[in-house]
Amino acid sequence: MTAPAARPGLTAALVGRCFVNPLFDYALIGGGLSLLVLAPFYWRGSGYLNWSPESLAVVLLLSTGAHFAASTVRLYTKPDAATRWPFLTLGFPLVTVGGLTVCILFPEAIGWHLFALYLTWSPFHYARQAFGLASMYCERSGCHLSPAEKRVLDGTCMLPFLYAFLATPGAGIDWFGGLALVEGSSQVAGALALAREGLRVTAFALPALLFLRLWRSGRPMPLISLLMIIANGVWWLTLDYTNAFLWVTVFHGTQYLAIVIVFHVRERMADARNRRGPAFHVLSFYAMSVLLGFGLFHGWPHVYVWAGWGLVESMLLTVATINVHHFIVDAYIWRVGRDSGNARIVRAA
Amino acid sequence: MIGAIVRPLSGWIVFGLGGGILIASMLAGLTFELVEHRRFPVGPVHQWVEVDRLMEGEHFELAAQRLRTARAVQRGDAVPGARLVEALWALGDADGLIEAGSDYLRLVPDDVNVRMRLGDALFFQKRDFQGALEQYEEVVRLAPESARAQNNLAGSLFALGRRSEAIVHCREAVRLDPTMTCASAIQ
Repeated sequence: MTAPAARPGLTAALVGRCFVNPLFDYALIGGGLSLLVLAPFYWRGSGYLNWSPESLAVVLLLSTGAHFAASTVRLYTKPDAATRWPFLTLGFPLVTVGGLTVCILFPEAIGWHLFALYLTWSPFHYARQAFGLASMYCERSGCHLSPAEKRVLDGTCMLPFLYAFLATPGAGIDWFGGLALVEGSSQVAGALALAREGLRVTAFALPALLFLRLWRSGRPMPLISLLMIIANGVWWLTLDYTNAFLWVTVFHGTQYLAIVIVFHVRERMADARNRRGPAFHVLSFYAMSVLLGFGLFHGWPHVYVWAGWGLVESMLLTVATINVHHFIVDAYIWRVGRDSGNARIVRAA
Repeated sequence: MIGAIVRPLSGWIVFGLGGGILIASMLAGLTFELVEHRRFPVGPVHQWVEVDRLMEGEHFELAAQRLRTARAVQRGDAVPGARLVEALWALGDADGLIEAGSDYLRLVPDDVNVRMRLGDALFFQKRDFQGALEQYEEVVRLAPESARAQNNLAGSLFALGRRSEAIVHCREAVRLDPTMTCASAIQ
């Protein structure tokens, strides 16, 4: 006979079960730090975000670049990756290099579609991450969601993606010139503007309503889940699209690096053969990610330049390729089956 | 016997070769940039640093060529468009500037600098006074304190024979900046 589990207090339920500690989880995984960084933007204007390319390069390397590389490092450091996903681990990199080469060969005919795909997929990927992390914190904090509630949470997280789909020039509905077509009809343009405004409001109102509903049902959603959804909304709905695509990758990258390192370290520490401490695994994983990110973003495009292709198409299309590769790899490595290693980490204290 | 040893390793051999080629490529790319151009690559923003260097070195033709490619790949992104307008202005390519500027202003209609460049190209190079007037009117609406915009608006009104309206904007231009000679000439 087992003793009934103690019901957590209200404060504990609202804070949720953190992986490291509330400060780390809320600031980095929850996206709280990104909101603090963005705060001056709202009273100092967009000039605040106009950093010099050299300064941006450092920020992008340590956050964005390392984050894109981290999914690859995570894939190849999983002990059973090559057996579980032979094509993803062994064949897909070659397909990726081949695809990129074709796109660089024909940048104006094919390459721009790859770029539009990357721009369209990015907000979708970030929305999926917000949903995945928010539902994971709900689950591990004792806020068990019904299938219907999960669908509502999923739909709520997708609203910033829908907004970006309708508003990003050169992507989403504008991939094939949709925005130019809309401009031709004042009624359609008006409906589109209304839809965008509606999404701006509902992207913040719906998470609050879901939070209230769960509160009333006696299963308060941890505030970190709410924070993640709001942070993703703030990133996409309050920044103009140029700043959004630049800075969201930094914020999302920081969030991603924090959670992927948590999972990596826990997996390593649970391995009976492990002889190292957590600090070693944190530093070695991050160092590998920064190094690979450096090679991918700083080195790889110049191979194409060396081979005689233009700098611009080599840089832009390599960036797009790395993004798309990351989106696909993520779809595999974050699967949470009932008995998967990921599920065990989510359930563990 | 050999097959039994190699088969389980074949995946890793392919991966090792692929990974090795990729790492070697990345190192080769870095080395090329360091040795050939004697500068350190700065990652995803490298092309913009490069375009800035070309513009500073007054290699406008090359800068415009790269910016045209960027515009073709990053359709909908405003960043290459604004820089392309500057490069084309420096090259005196009025037709290119009008095309690039109009396309850019569809994305960023409130950019006063690009609108001013477009107005100037229409006025001074194409002698399209009506087209220039529309651009200057918009600039004056967005930046009424710009003496140059008031001055050029006056100039295009004058060219279209609308003298009394031109004088109003002339006076405003001179009030904002007494050195506005074109406006003084109209008065």
